[in-house]
Amino acid sequence: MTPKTAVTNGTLPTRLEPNGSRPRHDADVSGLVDPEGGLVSRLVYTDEAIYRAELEHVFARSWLYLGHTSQVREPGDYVTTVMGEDPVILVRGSDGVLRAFLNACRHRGMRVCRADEGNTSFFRCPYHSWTYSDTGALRGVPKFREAYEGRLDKDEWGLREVAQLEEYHGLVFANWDPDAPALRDYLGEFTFFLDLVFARDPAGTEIVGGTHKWTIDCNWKHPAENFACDMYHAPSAHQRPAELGIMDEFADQGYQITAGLGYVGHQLARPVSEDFDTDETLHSYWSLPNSYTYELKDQRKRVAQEQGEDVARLIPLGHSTTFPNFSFLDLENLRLIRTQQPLGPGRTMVHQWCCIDASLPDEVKTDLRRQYELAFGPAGLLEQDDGENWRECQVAMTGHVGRNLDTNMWLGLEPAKPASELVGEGIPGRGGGIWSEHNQREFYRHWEVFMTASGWAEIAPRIEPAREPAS
Amino acid sequence: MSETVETPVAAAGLTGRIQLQWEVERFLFEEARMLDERRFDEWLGLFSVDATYRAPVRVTREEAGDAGVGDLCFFDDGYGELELRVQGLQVRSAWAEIPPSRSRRIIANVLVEPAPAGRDGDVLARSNFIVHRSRLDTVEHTFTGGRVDVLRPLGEGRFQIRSRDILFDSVAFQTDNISLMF
Repeated sequence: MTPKTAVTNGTLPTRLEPNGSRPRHDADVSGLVDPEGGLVSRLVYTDEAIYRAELEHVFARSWLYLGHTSQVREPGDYVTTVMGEDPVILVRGSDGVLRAFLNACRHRGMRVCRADEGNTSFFRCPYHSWTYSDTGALRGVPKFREAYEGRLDKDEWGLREVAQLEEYHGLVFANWDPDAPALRDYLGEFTFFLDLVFARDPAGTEIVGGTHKWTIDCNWKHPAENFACDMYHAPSAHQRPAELGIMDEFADQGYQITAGLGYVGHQLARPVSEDFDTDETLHSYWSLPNSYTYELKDQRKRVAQEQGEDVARLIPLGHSTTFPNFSFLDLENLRLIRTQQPLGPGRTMVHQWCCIDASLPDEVKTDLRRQYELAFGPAGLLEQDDGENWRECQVAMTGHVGRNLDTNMWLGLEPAKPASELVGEGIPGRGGGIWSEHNQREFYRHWEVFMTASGWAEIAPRIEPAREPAS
Repeated sequence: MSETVETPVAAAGLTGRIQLQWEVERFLFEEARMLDERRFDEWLGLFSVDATYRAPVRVTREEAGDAGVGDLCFFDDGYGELELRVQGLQVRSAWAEIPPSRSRRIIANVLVEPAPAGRDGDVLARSNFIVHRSRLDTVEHTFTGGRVDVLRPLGEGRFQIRSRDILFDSVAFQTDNISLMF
């Protein structure tokens, strides 16, 4: 069944008012981030006040990834997740409309849904049985006539709905800020890259059932900036697969591109014209036999015909983060999507899914799932070492002296070049070569804008001065 | 299990069953010791070349009686993948396990049953595990779960692992990674 695409934009009158009269969590971050100089104070990873401010200034204003439409195809289908530290339900209502709500009873605050996924027509809070429909409306209140009549207007006390919810190629994002731009304008030119990954298959993508969830004792920005992408760590941190002979040495050809609020980077695959009819891998990232190789070649050929060889050569696209905490890996042996959910300055919950092109043969889908699990699941031969490294970063920057040092982001500290010059015609954004921290510098430039701006009226013009809204 | 076939377990008298229980427990305890002592190649040698080693993700659903697993796995390995993992624990760049973690496996509640239909002669062993990992001076992680093994008796109290299905208890692991075997 084709997923329904109808969405809603927070019609309930109880949406979050970020500029209301509640106490604000502000933190002075002036002088902590110097994108041009390539320095970032380690206070941004460790300071409790900065973390509290991030939940408000970054997470309550940004478009955050909630789930995939293939997880909520039918009326009543739901999944639970978090936005920042707030638990959220993503549910397709009985009217077919996709909505997202704070997973908290309006009466005394308990989570009204405690499952990871399911299908329901209502959410009943176990505490006092306030009951909400799958469209978020408050329907049932015990002792209503005896104790609430004339006082409690049920229309005012529905589940708190996100201010905005939109879908892009099956990826569902939501935003608590009614003043935030539409998702496509937020993503800006980065939609070009999302199209290359999530719309490469005309049938779209789907999620393998189940989520890998695990905590890493590090700040959420360590994995976010790593996926943004840190190619520099691969030969060192992921020496293990190289030693095992399943990953060759990295070539020096590659790219780091920032476009809109998205960051992407990868080693450059061989030209499409050199895709011969063999099972030879596209580049050195994964050298084991891989049934997906043939499918990738077909996809590259088709994209080359439609958008040119330079664009097709970007496939598979590589490593990516969308500000603030949505990441994907699109490699020749797997595709994953994930979020880095903050749990305090020194703790992160990863939610990670295997995301596969929908029209692939079943046996290729199975291969892709198993290759993902072997390489990048929490027990994966690559992912294991990332968790170790990020935790140890956090350990060594938490003390008084450590947190007052700067993190060095000087790699490839040259003026950024247009992506059309770096990779080829028709490719948006700006960046550097494979050995660059351009994207990390841009990530922190954007972070500083969010942390210091009073609202979207200030954020929008400061993100990217000459941005053309995507159509 | 839908059907019980004549196997050593079903056929044996009480003394035979006690001996088999003792042998299976002894095998599982020795196996746990191999992993705790990082004798990985020896451990890999316990598996048949057509072995499967599987651990699905857990999912919380409202419905009572739901097994609560997803299609996604932590491990969905054959012998080749197990071999890669075991080699991967012994290379110089296995940062997640260098310096090595100290691990301690407690294997309990061992129940020996006849093997599934079509696996004549094999035995099915259920067990629970608590695996504790103490790492550097910063990390204390505990993994718990249950396992269902299909074991082929090789005589003299030795067995070969033909399949291992692991059911972790955690939906969300409170660990930086899963760098141990179970």
